[in-house]
Amino acid sequence: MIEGFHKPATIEEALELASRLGERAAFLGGGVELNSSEGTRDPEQLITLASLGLDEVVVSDDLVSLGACCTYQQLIDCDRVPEPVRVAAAEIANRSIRNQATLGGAIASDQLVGDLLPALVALGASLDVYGSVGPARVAVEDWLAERDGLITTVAIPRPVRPVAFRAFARSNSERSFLVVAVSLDVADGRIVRPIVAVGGVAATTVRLTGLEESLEGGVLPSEADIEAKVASLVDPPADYRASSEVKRQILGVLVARAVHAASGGKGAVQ
Amino acid sequence: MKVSFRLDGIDRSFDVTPEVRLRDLLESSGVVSVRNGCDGAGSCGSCSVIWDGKLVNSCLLLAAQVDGSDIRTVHSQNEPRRLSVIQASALDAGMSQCGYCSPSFMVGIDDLLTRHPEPTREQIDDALSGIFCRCTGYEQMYDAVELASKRMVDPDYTAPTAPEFRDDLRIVGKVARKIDGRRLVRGERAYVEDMVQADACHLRMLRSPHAHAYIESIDTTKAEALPGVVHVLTYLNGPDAWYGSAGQGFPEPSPYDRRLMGQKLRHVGDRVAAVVAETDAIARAALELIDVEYEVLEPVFTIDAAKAEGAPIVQGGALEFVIGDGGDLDVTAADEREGKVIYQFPIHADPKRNVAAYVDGGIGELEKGLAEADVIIDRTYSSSQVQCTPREPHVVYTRMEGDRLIIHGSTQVPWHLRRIVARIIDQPESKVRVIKERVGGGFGSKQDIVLEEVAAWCTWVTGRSVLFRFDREEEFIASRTRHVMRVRARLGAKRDGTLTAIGMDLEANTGPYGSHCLTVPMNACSKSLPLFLCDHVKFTVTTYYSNIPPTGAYQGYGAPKGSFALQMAAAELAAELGMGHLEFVEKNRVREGSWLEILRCLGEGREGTPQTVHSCGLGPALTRGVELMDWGNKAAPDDPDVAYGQGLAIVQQGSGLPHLDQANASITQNGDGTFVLLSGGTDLGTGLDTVCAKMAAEQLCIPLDSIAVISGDTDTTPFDVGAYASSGTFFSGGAARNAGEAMRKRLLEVASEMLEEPTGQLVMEFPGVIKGKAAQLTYEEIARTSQSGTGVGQLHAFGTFTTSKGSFPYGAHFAEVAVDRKTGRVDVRKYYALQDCGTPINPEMALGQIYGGALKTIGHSLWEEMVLDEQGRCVNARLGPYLVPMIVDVPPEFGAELVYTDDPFGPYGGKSVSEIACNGAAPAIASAIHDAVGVWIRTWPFSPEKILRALGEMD
Repeated sequence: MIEGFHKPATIEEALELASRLGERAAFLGGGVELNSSEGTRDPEQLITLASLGLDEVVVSDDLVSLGACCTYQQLIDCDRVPEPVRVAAAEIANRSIRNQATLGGAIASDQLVGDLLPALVALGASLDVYGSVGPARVAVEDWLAERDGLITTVAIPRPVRPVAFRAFARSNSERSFLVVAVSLDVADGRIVRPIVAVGGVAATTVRLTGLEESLEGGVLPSEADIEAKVASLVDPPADYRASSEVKRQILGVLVARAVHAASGGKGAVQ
Repeated sequence: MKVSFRLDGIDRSFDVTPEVRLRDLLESSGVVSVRNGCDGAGSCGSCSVIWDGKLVNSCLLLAAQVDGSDIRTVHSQNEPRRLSVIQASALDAGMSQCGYCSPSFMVGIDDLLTRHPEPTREQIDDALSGIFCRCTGYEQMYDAVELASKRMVDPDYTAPTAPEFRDDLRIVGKVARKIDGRRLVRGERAYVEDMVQADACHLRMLRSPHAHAYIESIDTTKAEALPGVVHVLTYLNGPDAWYGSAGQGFPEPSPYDRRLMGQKLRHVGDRVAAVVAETDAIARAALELIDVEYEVLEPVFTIDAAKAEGAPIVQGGALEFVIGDGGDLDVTAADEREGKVIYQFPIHADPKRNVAAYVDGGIGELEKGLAEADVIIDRTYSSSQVQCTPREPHVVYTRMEGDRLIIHGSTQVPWHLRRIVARIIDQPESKVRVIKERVGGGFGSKQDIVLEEVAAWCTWVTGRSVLFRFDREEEFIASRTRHVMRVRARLGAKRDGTLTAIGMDLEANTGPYGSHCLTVPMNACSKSLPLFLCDHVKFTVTTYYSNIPPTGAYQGYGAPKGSFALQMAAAELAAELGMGHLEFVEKNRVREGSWLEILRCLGEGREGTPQTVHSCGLGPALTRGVELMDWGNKAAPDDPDVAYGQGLAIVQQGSGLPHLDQANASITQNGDGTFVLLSGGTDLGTGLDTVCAKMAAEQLCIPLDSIAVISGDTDTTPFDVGAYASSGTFFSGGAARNAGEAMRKRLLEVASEMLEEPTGQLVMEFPGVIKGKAAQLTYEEIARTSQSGTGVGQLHAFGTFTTSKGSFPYGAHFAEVAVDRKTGRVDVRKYYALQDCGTPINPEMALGQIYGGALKTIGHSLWEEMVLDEQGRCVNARLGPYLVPMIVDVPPEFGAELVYTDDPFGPYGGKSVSEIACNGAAPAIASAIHDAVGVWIRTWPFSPEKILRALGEMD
């Protein structure tokens, strides 16, 4: 039950409030998770980030910085936002949600399996975070392990890596429950620096490091080989949408397609 | 805290607590158009507003978040007494049916046209992607947007939105705005929840956590002691009345196997205790204070478990028979806590073996027919449990008026509701009035009495007004769903494709209570078997009790499942014969002039009447479908993992129940010569009031706006069985036509006296003139005279409709699918529904009914399924996870067309149109999947899992 609503004007004020209110408080982005009757958290105090000016997109020589309060729809509508982020944001086939859900909220709540995180990981993105040890820039994956602090900016290195993105749902309107984002370089016909990030197989977005290692330095394996490798690496949770087995099958297909697309350029987006 | 924002152009300030959602604030401030459809999950969009130029769900926003903002609702469009361009276009295109979601679509289209004055289909999809509509199938929204877009530039722009029929008629068969549409698209007060007064109490139900249990003890003292609690109802203080929830004509074929509150709990969600309190919050808090101890019993969920030897007994009560007896059945109770089961007449049940109903029948000899066959197939088809998901959940508001109980209902069956409530409170029907408000969708689920009688009882014993509104989870677990069925189909044919035998052995799972337990499964046979002409036909129907959430009526009734089995079996047999499916259908299908002997054994609980088919549009429907689909010439996909396939199914339904149903209407004349039509019909968003107005207006040669319609009120309008069994147009429309005809005669009689000319010499002309040889009279002149001090009295006429004849709507549905062989995902690329409803009375609304039925059953075929865990709890009892179709799920090519036939029985030749539209999707899509990838999927939904397993992609 929400008992207090706070609207700080500066980041410092927001952090001070968070520190004072402690465990009972949560930062509020758009509110699609925190305000939902189906949400999993039940904070007593909300600190809205709406007045902090965190909805800017800034492009510098080596980074694209996305304000954490950019909504999905803002990301989609802004042509300075890297294409993989726009494509991933558009996966939520619900404009009303996209008008309200924020980038930072998606990362922090991590409820939205079919969302931006795999793409951000594949892009090698970092987060600007005000955490318990002060401001820091941390890799998305590292942040996911600790989940500490207020996310203010998502920083994507330039030049932006092409990302092949694949998602699966039973229907167009369903929120994707398997998401794959793959980035890699090809040098002399060999795959280098592959990143294979997947959502929907664990509690949060994970990299299939076992697959990445087997891809590194090699030629492109067949789709069947990739599918078999993925099957050996993941054990997705069964739910009302599909059994673990069928999710494993489909995920393998999505990863194989994404790796092939990333390698051949077909279907990869930049 | 104080929150200020600009609401529909006016600066407003509110004192709120921090947790208050914008939707709740708006609703409590009188903006009722932001509807609660998903309990604040943000999954239905029926509370859409524009927040600083962005379309959002107001249920997902704290009021505090919008401080200083601009908020626009549908009311920002409402000019005094006028429709906005968007609202007018919506009505012209026929895109509003029940109207519960219409204000949100008006807001969504406003946002869309602001951003894209000439939007593409993709931009329309995107703009409206968050708003759920269950009625319309969305297709006419594209037309509405196009109309609105053009009218923004040219206010006088107009274009036909549907074909028109019957050049010989002026009103019937022509496009006209739905007569109740204006208030719906403007977001005015119209539904039960809008009628609730501030002092109403709120009712909440404590529901069983167990699928099968007895209440061992229940202690409500703490709940009763909570300040603000008015009444707590349990089996201990409830009435000892037994009834069935199915709103069917008396004597009902469904058993009386439930008590208002019982000691036996038969499904997760069954009633344990009801709390009536001054506020909803107090009622919810009181539920937590009720101490219950349960004796948990072993549950049964499946047909196989229910029929197993020694299975737990779901309904073990003492059996009573009003007519007939149970034969050799043991009629004693298995346990006194089980209560009883009363049958108005035997339905061959054997509850102690979990058999809720049994029936068989046929013509010829099945074995002989099979022996004559060169090829026989024997297949079993099964299907899961799907929910109606009306946008407005079940809701009722009950109050006392003196010593009379008034029920404001969202029901399909006002008179059956009154009868059942009167029985429970043990009062004559004269003490009870049911007023049907606008219904926010029913689709069959509101044919059952699932909450009204609880609120009614509580009002009766406390004298207090009571609001009881289901939340979305209750809609899944305590409302009604389609029966789970398994059908064994045996078909035999000669080498040339001539059918020699059809056997249908159907098993159904009715769940905890026998609501529609005979008639829904029976309907699976009666609305599928007569599609094929065959001399040897046999069917058996066995329905079992179990502990799944309750089932009942759902648009299409049993037909979608029977149709799936029989049409699929026909497709499989054709393939086995090496014949084209279409060729096989053409060879064996029903046609005009066919004699349907099979109808003799397909009555609902009584002998049916065989008859000739007088109108059947199947031939032209198939021809047109072949053309639209480019049948047999499917495109080649670019992706090697993807395959395309085409499929078809022929469908039929009935138009009400001959010899069982009855409808009535009356007309009175106003002082200026216009009319008021009192119709017993129950318009649940289908356009029935408009049908009735048109019927009467056509008879009376007057424009549509010279007749007002009042309907569905047990005090003020005459009896009608209600909206079910596809009876609306045929029966309720027929009664309105007959009332119109009676008024026509009366007008001629009075005019004859006034003009001193014989009636045979008089001619009635539009718009309301009676011409004699010498002089003429307007209706106004007739009214002024008849209502004067020397007049004959206000002109009044009555019409009844009953019939012994059935008129069957027919249709052909075609689908083209894309199947991804490696992920198992199926996408419907094209869907065409060609339907014969005789004369389409409201053409654009008839099309809307077809689109709606087709899309929801595409949903049933591919995605929708109530998933139960091992304890019988539905794990996806919410709109999002249950996966209802949204606008982005509409097939890219989606078409409905009306095939005119001349039917001799229906009013102006009208036949039913809506339920039949639910019968084609599953078989058409399943045979398209086979055409694509060569596997027959015999259970729905056709999930990726089933496709992948059938294709051998998984071990």
